[in-house]
Amino acid sequence: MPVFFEYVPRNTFIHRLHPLTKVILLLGIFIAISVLWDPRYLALCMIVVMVLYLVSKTPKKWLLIAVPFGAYRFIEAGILGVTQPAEVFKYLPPEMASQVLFSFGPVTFYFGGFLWALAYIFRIFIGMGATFMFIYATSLNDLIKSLRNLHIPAKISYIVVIALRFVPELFREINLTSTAQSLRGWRLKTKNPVKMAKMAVPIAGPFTRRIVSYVDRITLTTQVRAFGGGKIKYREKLGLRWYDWVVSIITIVVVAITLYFNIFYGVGLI
Amino acid sequence: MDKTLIELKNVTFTYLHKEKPSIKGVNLKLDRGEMVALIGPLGSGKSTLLRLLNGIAPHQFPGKLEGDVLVKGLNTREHEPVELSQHVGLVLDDPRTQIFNLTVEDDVAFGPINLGLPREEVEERVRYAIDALRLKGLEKKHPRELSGGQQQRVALAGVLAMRPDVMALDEPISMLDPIGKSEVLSAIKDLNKKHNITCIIAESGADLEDVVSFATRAIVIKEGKILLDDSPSKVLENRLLEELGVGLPQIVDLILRLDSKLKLDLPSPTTVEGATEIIMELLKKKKISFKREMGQRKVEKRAPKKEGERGGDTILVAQDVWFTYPDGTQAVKGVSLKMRRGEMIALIGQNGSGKSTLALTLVGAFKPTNPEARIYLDGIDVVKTDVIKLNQRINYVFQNPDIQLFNPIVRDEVEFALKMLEESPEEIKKKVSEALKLLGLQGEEDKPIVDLTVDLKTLVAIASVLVLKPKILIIDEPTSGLDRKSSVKLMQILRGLRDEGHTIVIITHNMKLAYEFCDRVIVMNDGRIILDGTPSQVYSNVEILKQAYMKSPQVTQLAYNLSDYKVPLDICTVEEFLDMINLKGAK
Repeated sequence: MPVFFEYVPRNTFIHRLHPLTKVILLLGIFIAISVLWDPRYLALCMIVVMVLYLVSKTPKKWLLIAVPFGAYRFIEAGILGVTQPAEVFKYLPPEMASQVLFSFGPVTFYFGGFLWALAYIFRIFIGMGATFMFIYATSLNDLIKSLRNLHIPAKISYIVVIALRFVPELFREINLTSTAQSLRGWRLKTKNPVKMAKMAVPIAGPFTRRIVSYVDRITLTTQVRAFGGGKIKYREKLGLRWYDWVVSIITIVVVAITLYFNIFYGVGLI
Repeated sequence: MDKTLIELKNVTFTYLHKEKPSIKGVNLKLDRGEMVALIGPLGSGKSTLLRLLNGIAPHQFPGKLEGDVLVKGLNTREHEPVELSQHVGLVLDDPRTQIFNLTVEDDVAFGPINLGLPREEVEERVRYAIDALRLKGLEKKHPRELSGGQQQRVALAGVLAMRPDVMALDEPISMLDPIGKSEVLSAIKDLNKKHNITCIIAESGADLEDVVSFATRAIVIKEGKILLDDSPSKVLENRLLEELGVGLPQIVDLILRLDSKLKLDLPSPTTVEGATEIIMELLKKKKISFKREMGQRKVEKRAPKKEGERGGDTILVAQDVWFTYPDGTQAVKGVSLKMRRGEMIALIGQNGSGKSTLALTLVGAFKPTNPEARIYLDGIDVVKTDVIKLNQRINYVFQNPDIQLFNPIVRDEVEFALKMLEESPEEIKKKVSEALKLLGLQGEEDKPIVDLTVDLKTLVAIASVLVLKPKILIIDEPTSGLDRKSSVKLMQILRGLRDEGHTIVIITHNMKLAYEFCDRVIVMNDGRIILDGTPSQVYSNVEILKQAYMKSPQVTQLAYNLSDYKVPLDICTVEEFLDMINLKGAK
C-alpha cells in the first residue's frame, strides 16, 4: 500500500524513463509554467501533464491537496486583479482588463483579475501534478545515483541517501515512544503552544537521544567502510534508452521554442 | 607469507575523560584463518579491543594508547581507519543502523566506491560479497523489507566487499531471533572456512554455546585484561566463565559435572553432537546407565497441571483476537488465551511472529481489527476502554529503555506516570519508594539516567511502569544485550514481582531463562499460538519448535539425540539430566 507521497515501483512508461529524463521533463514543465501567463497555453500544458499523470498511474487523490492552494490563489489573485491597474497587462487591452465581471460587497472582480487567477490555478495544478508524478514514478535512490554522473560531491549525495533511509525509521521510533508514554498516562491535550512544547518533552527527549545514537553509529559504520577516504571514480552507467532521448529532446526543443517566442514575441503573456 | 595478521604489543587504552583504562597491558596475535571467540561480561573491554584492531580507537574514539597495535605491519597510531578498513572490517550488533543505503546492492557497494575503485571492480566485489553471503535475489530490496538475519548478512557483505583479512564482529547475533542467529553464524562460518577470513567474535554470554561451537580459539577478557587464551574446550573446562557471570553452555556444565565424579578426563564438548558422542561412549563402556524408573518419574512430571493450580484466578481472557496493520500485514491471527493472577509467562517466537503486536493489543494500545474479538481484564472490556484507563491494570515495558526514558534523574522518571495521574505528592513519594524497593533500586534515586548500565536502565523503565501497580506487566525482551549474571539478577527481581501477586509476561528469545524462571511458556508462530504449557511440556515438542525455528535447551536436544535409550524429552536442566543417570565408575 503506497504511503502518501512515496515512490512506488511500477511498470508504467513514466516509471521506465531514466531519472535524468524525468528531471529534464520536470524542469521543462516548470520553466514553461514560469514564463506562461495566458490561460490558453497553460491549459495546453495542463492537458499534457494530466495525460502523463494518468499514464504514470499516480494516485488521483494526491491532487486533492492542490485544491485548497488553488482556491486560495483564486481568491488572492482575484483580489489582486481588483487592485492591479490595467497597465500591468502587457497585451490585454486595458478596457478588457478592467471589465467588471461582478461585485461581491466591497470587492470587485475584473476580467483581468479572473485571467490572472485562472493562470495561477493552472500553474498550481500543473506544478503539483508534475511533482507528484515525479515522486511517484522516480526512485530517489536511482535519481541520486544518476546525479553522481553530474559530479555532485559524494558527501552531499550520501547526506540525502542517509536522510531518506533513516527519516522513516525515526518517525517509527516517535510512534513507539508516543505509545510507550501513553501507557504511562501521557497525552498531548493542549492547544497552548507553550504548554504543548513543555508537554512534548517526553517524546522529544528520547527522540533526540535516538538521533544522537543513530548519528554516532552511522558515523562509526561509514568510517569503517572508508567514507571520505579517496577520490571516488565510480560512476553509474548513464543507460539512457532511445525513448529517453526522444522525450528529452522533445522537452528541450519545446521549451526552447516557448522561451524564444515568449521572450521575443510575447507569446503566452497577458 | 606471514601468517600473523594482527599483533597487539603491551597495549593499554584509556578513553578520553576516563580515569581507568578499558584495556590493560594486552599482548595478542591473530593469525590468518583463525576463528576466535572473545568472551567477557558486559563492560569487560571486548568492544574497545575490537575498536583498537582497525584504528577506530584512538582515531574515532579518542584516548591514550600505550603500546602498539600492528595490522599487517601497519601501526594503527600512524594509519587512519580509512586505510585500515581494507584489512580489518567491523560489524556491530544492531544491523539496522549499519545499512544506510536504500538498496542491498548499493549498501554493499558503499565501501568499494569509497575506496575509489573503478566501476568494474566495484561491481565484481559486490557480486562476490552478495554470493558469499547468499543474498542473491535481494539486491534491489530496501533494508526495511529484510529480516534481522538478512540485514546482518548485508552488513557482513558490506564489510566483505572491502576484502578484509580480518573481521571483527561485536556481538553480531545478540539482537537477532534464533533463525537470524543461525543464518548469520552459518554465514560467518563460511567466511572463515571458504574465504579464509580471520574472524574475532565478541560474546558476553547469551549466545556463548552457539559461538564456541565453531570457534578454534577462545579468549576470556575481564576488566580489560586477558585472563585465558586457549582452545574453546580448554577455556570452557575452566570454571572461570561461571565466576565472571558469563555462564557455561549446558552440555559443558553437564560433562564437567559427570567428569568430576568419573575422573576420566573427558573433553569439553562444544556442540550437542559432541556431547551425544561422549554420553554414548560412556554408556557403551558401561561407565554410566540411565535409571529404570526415569520414564515413570517423567510421566508424573509431564502430567498436565489442573486448571488454577499454577497462579491464582483468571485475570485476563482474550478470544479470537486478530490484528492487521494498515499495510495489510496480519500480525495476530485469531489468538485466544487466558492469564491467571501471579503467573510468570514467557511469550516466545521468531521476530515477526506477532508477540509484540499481541502484547500491545492486550494492553489496549492497539485495538483488534476484527469486530468479534473480545478481551476482558478483570471484567473490563479492553477493546472498548481507553488505553489510559487501563494503565493501572495492565501495562507494557518496551524492549529498548531509551524509547521511553527522558528525565535526567531516576526519581523523576519513576514519578512521571503518577504525576500524569495528578496524584498527591505524599502518595507519589510512597508509591515511588515501593517500586524502587521492589526492583532493588534504592540508592539509585538521584543518579543521572545516562550514567546507568543497561540492566539498571531496564529496571528504571520497569519501575516507571510498575509504579502504576498494574496487575499484569508485559516486558519486551528484558534481558536483551545483558550477560548471564545480569540476566539472572533481573529475572529474579521479576520473579519477586510475581510473588507479590503481579502477573508477569516476558517476551523473550532466551529459552533457558524462560525455563528457569517462568511457570508457563507460550510459543507464537505466524501470528498464532502453537504451543502453550509448562516449560517442560513445551520444550519436549522438539519438532514443533524446530518448525517455528526455535531451539530447545541443549540438554533437551541431547535427550532428543538419546531417545533410543528412552530418555524423556521434557528434561531441560543439567540437574534433571544428572538425576536420571547411575554413575557406575564414580570415584
